[in-house]
Amino acid sequence: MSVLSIKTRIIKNIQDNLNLGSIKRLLHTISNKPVLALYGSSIKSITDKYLNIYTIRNLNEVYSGKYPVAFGSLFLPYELIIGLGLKPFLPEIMGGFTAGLGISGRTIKAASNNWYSSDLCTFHRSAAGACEMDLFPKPSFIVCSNLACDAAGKSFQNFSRKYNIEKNFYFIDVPHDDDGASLSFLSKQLENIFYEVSGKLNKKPDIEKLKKTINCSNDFRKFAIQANNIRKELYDYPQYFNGLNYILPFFGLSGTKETVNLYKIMTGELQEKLLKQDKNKKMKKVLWMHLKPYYRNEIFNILEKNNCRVVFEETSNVFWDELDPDKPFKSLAKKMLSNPLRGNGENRIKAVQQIAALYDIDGIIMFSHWGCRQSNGLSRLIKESFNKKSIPVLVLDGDCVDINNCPAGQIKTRVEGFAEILNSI
Amino acid sequence: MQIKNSKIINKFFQKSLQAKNDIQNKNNSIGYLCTYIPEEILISGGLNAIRIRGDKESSLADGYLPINFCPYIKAVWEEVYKKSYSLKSIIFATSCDGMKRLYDLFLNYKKENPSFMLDVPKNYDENSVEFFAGRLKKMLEFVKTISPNREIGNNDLVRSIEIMNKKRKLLSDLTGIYESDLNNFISTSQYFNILDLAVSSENKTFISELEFFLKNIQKDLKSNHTSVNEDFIKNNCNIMVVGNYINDENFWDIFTDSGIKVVSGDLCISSRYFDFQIESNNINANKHKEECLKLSDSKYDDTSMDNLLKLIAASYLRKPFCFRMTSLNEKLKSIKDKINTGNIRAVIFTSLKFCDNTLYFYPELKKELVKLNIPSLYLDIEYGKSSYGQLRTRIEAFYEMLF
Ligand code: SF4
Ligand code: SF4
Repeated sequence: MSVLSIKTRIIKNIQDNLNLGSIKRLLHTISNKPVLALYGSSIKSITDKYLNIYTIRNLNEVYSGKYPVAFGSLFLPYELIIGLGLKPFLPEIMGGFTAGLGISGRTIKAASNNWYSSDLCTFHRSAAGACEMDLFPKPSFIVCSNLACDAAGKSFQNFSRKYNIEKNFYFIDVPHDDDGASLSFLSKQLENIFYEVSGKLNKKPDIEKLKKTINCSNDFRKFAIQANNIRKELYDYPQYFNGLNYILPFFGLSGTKETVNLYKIMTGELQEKLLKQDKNKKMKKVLWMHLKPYYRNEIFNILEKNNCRVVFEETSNVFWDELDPDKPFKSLAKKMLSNPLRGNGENRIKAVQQIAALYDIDGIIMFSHWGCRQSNGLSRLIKESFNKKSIPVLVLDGDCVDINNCPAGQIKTRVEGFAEILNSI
Repeated sequence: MQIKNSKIINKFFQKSLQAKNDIQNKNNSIGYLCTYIPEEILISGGLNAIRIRGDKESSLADGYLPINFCPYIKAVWEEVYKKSYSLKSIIFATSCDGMKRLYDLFLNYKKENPSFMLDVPKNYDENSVEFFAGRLKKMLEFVKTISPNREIGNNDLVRSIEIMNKKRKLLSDLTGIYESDLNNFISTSQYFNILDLAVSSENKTFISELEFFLKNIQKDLKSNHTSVNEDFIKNNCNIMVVGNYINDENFWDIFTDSGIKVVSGDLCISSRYFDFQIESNNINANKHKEECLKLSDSKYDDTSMDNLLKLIAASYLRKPFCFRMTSLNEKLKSIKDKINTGNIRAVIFTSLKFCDNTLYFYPELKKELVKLNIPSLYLDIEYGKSSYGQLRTRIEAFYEMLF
């Protein structure tokens, strides 16, 4: 059986039996070694295969009910969550998954029925709908932050009421500025969470485990940097490779051995591709900003057909320094503070300009996801800053989760037009 | 009764209205953009503090910010960008994602104008209070650089706290009178006009006029032997309005014209602005003292600058919560308490469009209201540009449904 038909059957199964019990059973079944092996055998890229298998296994564990689960927002220092022995579950990512599984229409509708306004970000709306439909595993803790936006702090707190765990809701307040006071304010919050959650789990605070997790995270970081370096020259990627598919391991599972393995495999596979690549091959290099639509879409194919390749994504940027396992809270706080989405927009602009220079970028696509105030509010300044460097920017309006809010025809015309501009430069 | 006439408000607040107009042209004012920015600090150096209302006729701002962006933020950008401002400076706050992006525009296009971004925590525990106090200190240092009195001492700050406490107290008194006034001496429009004046005029002038106004109205109420009629309260349909920065005369006029009284406002210009006091042993004690000093009374019994700033920090982080704070349960509780004590029959939830903090709060509030069997109406409005005819129809239809 081909991978596509297995994938199609899984998706069909989820669509037809949309409830917690079925999701659990399905994950349990497909996590079986022979089934996973069969599923994996038909995926050509070894990185993609590892990602798929790892994601399924991880979700199976999270849904199994055997481990304490923590809901978390995207840019948390997950080393802390994993170091506490909690299984992370990222509702925003699951919002993206609902799009890939073709169920976001239903989850978004459930959110509307529960008074979530259609003006809100669909990653959160879809997650809220899924939560209202009881499609998520029950969390023991909810941890979120204001990185990158206000949404998680609000919608996740609503979730804490739904699951009746308001006392286990933690909001990490990431300061606007990066200075000494911010660092100590933030480190203290992380430290408090670590000790309080350990207490609530009836466990002795296990700093050694946290250190190990941090070491793992450092290993992952090294491989991610290597992979990123290879990408400076690379046009010929493994089939279906898209950096925007790696958000879960890159953020949510940093600190696990599997993420280290994933990035090690990725580095090897990309290196091999680079060695085989036709040295004369040249394509227009595109930097992708923000996220992408997670339902089936043609954007990346259109780009490739038109001699353009996304060679880097804003979300693949290793923006943090190596962590110090002996100062876990301080270095995790530093990691959060060095996120370019924190603070003034200037931080983000500087970061993408550095990337553009490093990757010799010809053009930028900034996906303007409906309802994302923090990102879209900066689009004019981003455009202007690159105009000064004569790098064209396409601000592509759409929706990462709701296919009905993203007219394919319009997107096609705009992406083709943009590719034409890039090829004419 | 004279006070029914809106011209009377103009008469009582003539100087404040004048000051409101003058402020734009005088070079001694500082603008601010959120109720979490302590006015105490802004005025301690001899400056006037005014809440920037923005130019409601925004059109230029659409070229700078996306379509689906807070209309208040757009209005502010319109005003700030277009006008050659005489304001000394503008203080921003990390109120929401939109405000951060507004600050980016300001930093980029108005580089020559001094500004400050105040980082306001969303939690209100001891760690957050400490941090906020540190940020307030930075803001104080900034204010010093633009104030006529380059030095700001403890006494200046204490005096400012007293001024603000007095203003807050008078506004609470006004609210008490307005809410229990069964003869409609003060209309909904008039009440909210006064609240707007409170943040856009000159403090001393406004305080003395408000004091005089309250004395007069109390006299009037007494001479008319008006007393609180319990039956009337029970039969009257008290409406509570919950929302964000709803400061739109045309909106309030809908209620006034339709004879609907908004008795309890949980808004940026109402309780969130004035329903608290900053108190320590050196500043007159009052009923809110305990709430303000929960951290530790002993820490605040002297007026060293750091302690004063910490006192301000604690009081502001724990004042009636905005939706931006991580205080969902407390916020819901306070609304439920108001519903119970104010004999509220219905709630109108009004949000300026595209305000994430407010919109994420609504689902939980709605669930609670359904449980309490309190009818509610959801309105999202543009800032000064709504279709008022449609709003009127919806509000009136909702009100009729209550009987
Ligand atoms: S897309 Fe934007 S609004 Fe939505 S979760 Fe991400 S950062 Fe927040
Ligand atoms: S109304 Fe909402 S979006 Fe607008 S400034 Fe206030 S908090 Fe921000």
